[in-house]
Amino acid sequence: MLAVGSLLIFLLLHAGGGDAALAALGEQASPAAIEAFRAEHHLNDPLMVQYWHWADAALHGDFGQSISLAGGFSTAQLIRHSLPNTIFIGIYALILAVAVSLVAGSIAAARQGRIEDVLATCGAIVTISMPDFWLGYVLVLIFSLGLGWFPAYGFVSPTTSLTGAIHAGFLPAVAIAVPMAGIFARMLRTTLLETFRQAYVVSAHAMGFGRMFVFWHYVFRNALIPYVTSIGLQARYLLGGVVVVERVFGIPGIGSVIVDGAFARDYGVVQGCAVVFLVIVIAVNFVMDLVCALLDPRRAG
Amino acid sequence: MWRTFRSSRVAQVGSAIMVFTILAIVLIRLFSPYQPNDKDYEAILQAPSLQHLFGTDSYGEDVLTRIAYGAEVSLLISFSGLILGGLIGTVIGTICGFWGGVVDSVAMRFIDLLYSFPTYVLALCLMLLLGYGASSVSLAIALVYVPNFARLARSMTTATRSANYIIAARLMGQSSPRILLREVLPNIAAPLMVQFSAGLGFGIVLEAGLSFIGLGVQPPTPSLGVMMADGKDYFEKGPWVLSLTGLSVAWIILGLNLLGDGLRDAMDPRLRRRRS
Amino acid sequence: MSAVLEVSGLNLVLDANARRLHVVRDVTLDLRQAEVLGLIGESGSGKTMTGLSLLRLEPEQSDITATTLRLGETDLLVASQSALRALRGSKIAMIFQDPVGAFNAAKRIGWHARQVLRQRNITAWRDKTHDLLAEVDITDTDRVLDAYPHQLSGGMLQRVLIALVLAAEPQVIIADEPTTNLDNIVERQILRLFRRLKHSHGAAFIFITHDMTVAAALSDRIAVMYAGEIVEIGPTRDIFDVPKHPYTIALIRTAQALQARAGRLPEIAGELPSLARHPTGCAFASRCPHRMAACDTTRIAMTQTDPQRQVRCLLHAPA
Repeated sequence: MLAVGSLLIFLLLHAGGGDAALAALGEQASPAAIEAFRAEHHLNDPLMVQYWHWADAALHGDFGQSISLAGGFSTAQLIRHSLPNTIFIGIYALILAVAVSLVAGSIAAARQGRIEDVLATCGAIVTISMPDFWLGYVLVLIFSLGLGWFPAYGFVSPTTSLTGAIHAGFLPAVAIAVPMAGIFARMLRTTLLETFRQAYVVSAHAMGFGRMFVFWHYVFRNALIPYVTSIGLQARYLLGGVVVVERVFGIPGIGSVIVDGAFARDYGVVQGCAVVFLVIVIAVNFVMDLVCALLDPRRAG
Repeated sequence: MWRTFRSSRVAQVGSAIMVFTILAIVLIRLFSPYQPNDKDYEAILQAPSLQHLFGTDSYGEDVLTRIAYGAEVSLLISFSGLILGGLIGTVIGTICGFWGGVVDSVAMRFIDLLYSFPTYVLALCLMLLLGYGASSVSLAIALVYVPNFARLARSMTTATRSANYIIAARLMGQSSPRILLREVLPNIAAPLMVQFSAGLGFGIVLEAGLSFIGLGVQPPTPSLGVMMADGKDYFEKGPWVLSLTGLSVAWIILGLNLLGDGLRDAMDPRLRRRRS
Repeated sequence: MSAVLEVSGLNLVLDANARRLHVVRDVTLDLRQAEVLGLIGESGSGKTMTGLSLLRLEPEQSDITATTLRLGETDLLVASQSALRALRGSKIAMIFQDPVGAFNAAKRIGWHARQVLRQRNITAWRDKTHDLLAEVDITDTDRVLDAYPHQLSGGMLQRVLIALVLAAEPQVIIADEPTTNLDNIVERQILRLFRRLKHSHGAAFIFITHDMTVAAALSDRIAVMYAGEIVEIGPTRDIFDVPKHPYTIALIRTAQALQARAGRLPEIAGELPSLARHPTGCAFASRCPHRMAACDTTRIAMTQTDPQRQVRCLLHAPA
């Protein structure tokens, strides 16, 4: 899957024409220099061979030289520096989203039809409808420029200061988390409501088990499975949101890198980052599947 | 289909929002004293007032007018992209679901791969390939949504493939394409519509995001994303440009989401009324 | 023998999507100690809903009313949620149709057993479970306790369920089609088990089924339900020898034909009436071969034809 994916990316980018050599060396470069560049980077070889070179190097952690960005860092280095930042914000946002959605979804389902449910559902729909980068700016408007509680941009790496990172990262994490929380909360509510109707819930009541007991062990436990699955399914949308939010808050994550790369028509960078993104999505889904297998003995067995 | 719409108040609210929005766009275009590109250097960055209901941007252009034009552009881009993606995806999905076998396995692998890509990343790659501009964004949206429609179409088709009326049609000697068109398609149309309205919303977000970064629609063409990109530059001095534009985006998406949700809930077989 | 369960005038109306369905109409029955009452009816006759109502497990959106709904000394209509919870499982219990659906798929059988026994304040649950499972003819206790529900067969699960239900020695056990989802051989085993338990535990059973032969084999008395109403009730032998209500007659005829492997099965033409209406006459009238004009207009009450027998039919009503 990964192999085909990276091949696809490679073909996609190279099919677009746009001479990498020209882009790198500029229009003024002499034909000789261009030729030399081409030879060095195997640009004259048939496409499949080029891909092979690249893939081979990639597996060894070498994504090739970033042709134009930041003083010729290798792409791999770029990625290595920026990826952890993105992951930090991503996990931060995920934790927020999951926490809020678990609470909100459960309350909404338990009080179905009543005011808490209506409020929660409306809230969820509204939050889902917001573009996350816009939300980011609004948050900045209120909490940074207005109240001054959080910094408007600038990023503190968790390695330098954990509390600083949490503080600085709060607004961007919230911006990403809010639409996520909306989706998750609704999903949880729906699965909980469905589980309520299951035969084993009635059966548990018939055996005289208490309401909280039934809710926790029977309803919640079994509703978690589709919930977790849906988290995995949302990965592709959320990761995308990260790209733009990083721009808003000036976070030096892999999203910024790929955008800069795209601007500079630096195919190598874009390629490398795209592959990394793909890996992340696949990894997330894999983890979710694992969690599901743990939760549901039917699948593991 | 119409009946399901009428039975869902949520869908009605959603469509009311959409109708209102479209009307607003049309009315603003007809009656606004300003053109979207009318620069008035005397009145740059003015906060919302009676003269400029949504304020002005850094060129003195009226924000409300620009939003009206920009919304139209964004909606068109999203719509065309969705139609294209929807068509391609549905065709692929239906064929896969109907024929199964090797075609199905190979194609679905591809589709799954496409689905695994983060949306913006996929769009980015496509922009790099095709160059920037409105049509590229449209194509990017199409590509992003092909897998959604393909998966949906496929699962619905496999479900109905073994349905009795399909078998009956086969027994009556109808050819496969005919069966597809006349029996399968009408029955899977409804969920596809729901996917469409939800996708429309996200398409707008995608366009806004891409243009915001600068990789989508290029100025001077107004689109909601372009306006937001513009607004971000002087956000501290004139936050209304970005905020109000974003609010419009959220409003439109809210309408679309409500419409889609309402339709989907109304179609849920579990909630269908019991007959007699 | 006093009645352990007294029900009279039980009505249940469901609120389904702005339609009100009268699924249980004016049901009156009583259950005596150590007797088996067979509740017979086709799908949609309201028998499951009746069973659930007796446990006050009726669906959320519904109205339950009754003149009397009493379990022993307790009035089930006014009892609080916690009081009801205390009763469920310990005084009155239910065995469901689908054994797989009755268990929490994510937990092992042993967990289920422990929970049930802990509820009854029984320590040393493993030993007690051993004994219980032995009673239902399960010998490989450890394997069963360690297994997850999906790993056991339907018949096995049903037996485990019965064992768990018996743990608290309830006075009343409502068995809702416990053998419908099982194959014939297993069905016979379970029925034999029921018969044995009836004698050893002294509990009263309400055995809900659509299968006449099963009901005949097990029950002391039979109540026939149609469209939410009880149309005939009496001792099993009497009902089978001399069925009175046209519906009962038709059912028995069909069952006999099946038994005798007759060529053509007698059909009862027509279908169940809509439960949304409030029929003023007999619900079965549209399908009854003896239909009279008065059948559609009179509200038909139960007629006591014998000391033990009641029939809801104008054919047997006093002139």
